[in-house]
Amino acid sequence: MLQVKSIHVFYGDVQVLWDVSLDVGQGEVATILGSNGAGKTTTLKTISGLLSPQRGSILLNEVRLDKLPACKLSSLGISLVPEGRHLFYNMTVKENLLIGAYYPQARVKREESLDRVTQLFPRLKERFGQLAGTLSGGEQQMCAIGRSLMAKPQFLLLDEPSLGLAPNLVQTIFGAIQMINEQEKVSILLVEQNAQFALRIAKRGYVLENGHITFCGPSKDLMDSKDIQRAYLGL
Amino acid sequence: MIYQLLEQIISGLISGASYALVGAGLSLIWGTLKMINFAHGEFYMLGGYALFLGGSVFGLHPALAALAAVLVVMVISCVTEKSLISSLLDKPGWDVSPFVITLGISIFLQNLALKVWGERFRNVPYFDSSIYEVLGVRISGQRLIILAVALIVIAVFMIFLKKTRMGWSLKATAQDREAATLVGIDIKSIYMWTFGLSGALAALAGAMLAPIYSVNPWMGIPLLIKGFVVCVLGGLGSLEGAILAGFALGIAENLGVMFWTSEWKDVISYSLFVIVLWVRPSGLFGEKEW
Repeated sequence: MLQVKSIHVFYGDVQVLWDVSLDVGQGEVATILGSNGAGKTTTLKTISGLLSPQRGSILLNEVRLDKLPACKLSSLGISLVPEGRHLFYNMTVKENLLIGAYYPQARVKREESLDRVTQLFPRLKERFGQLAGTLSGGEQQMCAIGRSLMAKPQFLLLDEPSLGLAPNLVQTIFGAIQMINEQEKVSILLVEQNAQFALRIAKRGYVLENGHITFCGPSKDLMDSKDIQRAYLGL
Repeated sequence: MIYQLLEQIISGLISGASYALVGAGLSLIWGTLKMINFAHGEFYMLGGYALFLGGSVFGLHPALAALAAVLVVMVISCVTEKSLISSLLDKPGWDVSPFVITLGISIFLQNLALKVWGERFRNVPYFDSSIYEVLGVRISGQRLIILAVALIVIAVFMIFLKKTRMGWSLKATAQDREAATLVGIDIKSIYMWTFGLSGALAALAGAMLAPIYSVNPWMGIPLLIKGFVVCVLGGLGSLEGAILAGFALGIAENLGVMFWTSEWKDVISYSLFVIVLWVRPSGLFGEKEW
């Protein structure tokens, strides 16, 4: 479904990603593990069009994404929940969700999508009229995921959804991510500090070190690997 | 005394209306494109000339001439953004270039106007030269029209921001460009429309004030400075702030004239400006962005 074929990405003159390739199948959850500065966020930003690769290509269902302007990607079914939520803080929760259904086909179904998002996160419904900037961290994350879902994506990119959240909220968010995958049949690429959780819900994992993919395989193999246990699972 | 007070408040509202229109445009550009537009006063000037040409040369009805002036300047601002500014925005290390280029555009347009229309001040007849009595105060029809048009346009503009898809896109882009792109907003086209709308607001002010101040190539300069004052007073990037500060500044200036002579008008407004910044460095409505 999503194929990233040996991309090289630069920030100005500085190369951040070398020859990164990823594959995520239909309905699959995959995760990228890696330490700070390894290039995880860069990878997601490149897939979602905010950065463009200097070499390599990105395809979603055989459609080439990397030559398109970033604003076109949500209409092709790919949506990023960015690190740090990036909500529209001076709009209400409801407005944040509604603007998520921006392109015409999603806009037609926005009432229906709104219902599904509020079923997934009942808390958001109570906060509808509140400015997004006044929400708690967990609620902001729900709102950010909800906004992405409003675009009816087939493919969801999640960047650090549990960052800075209390443990019980982490559970809620991960539960929701699993539901999105199972019930809505949305494929997911997850970047997460919390490697335990990430490997539990992902079928496959990639390890990114200094901009190179150094390991990829089924989550079980990653969990069993001594190196990965030491580096990312704290065992 | 009461009568005098009322008179000054009403004329303050009227000059405030033009400050509000000009300040709103500057604030819009600051909020969305994160740049200062030094050519804003020249869009105001072009609005004045366009009205003069439409009315006196082509013989259009004042309302039509004003509408044409607004549309023509809107197109000019859109083209300016697309051709000269767009490519300079969001370039790392090029932060000052958009604002330097607007300075260039400002100088260019002033000299172009000087070359084409000459340095002679052009007089434009009042749209409505009758005098009306409002609450016992005698006001010219022209000034009442300015106030009414400004209030209507500001109200329509607020509804546009609140209710339309385009308005939401504009607000979203101002608040978070990255998130706006991710939901599918083409921020480059929003930049262009923002510039166009801002130019249109300035041109409207220029067209409405043309009969009172007469049109000349340098008419934009003092108003640009007032526009900046209004933006900063209102809190940078706050649209409502700029509009309220515009009216407040107009009233303060005119009340000041009750106690000093009118040459002190600018001294009053800039002193007020310094005092407000001293007490509230983020402006009157600084924290709350739109």
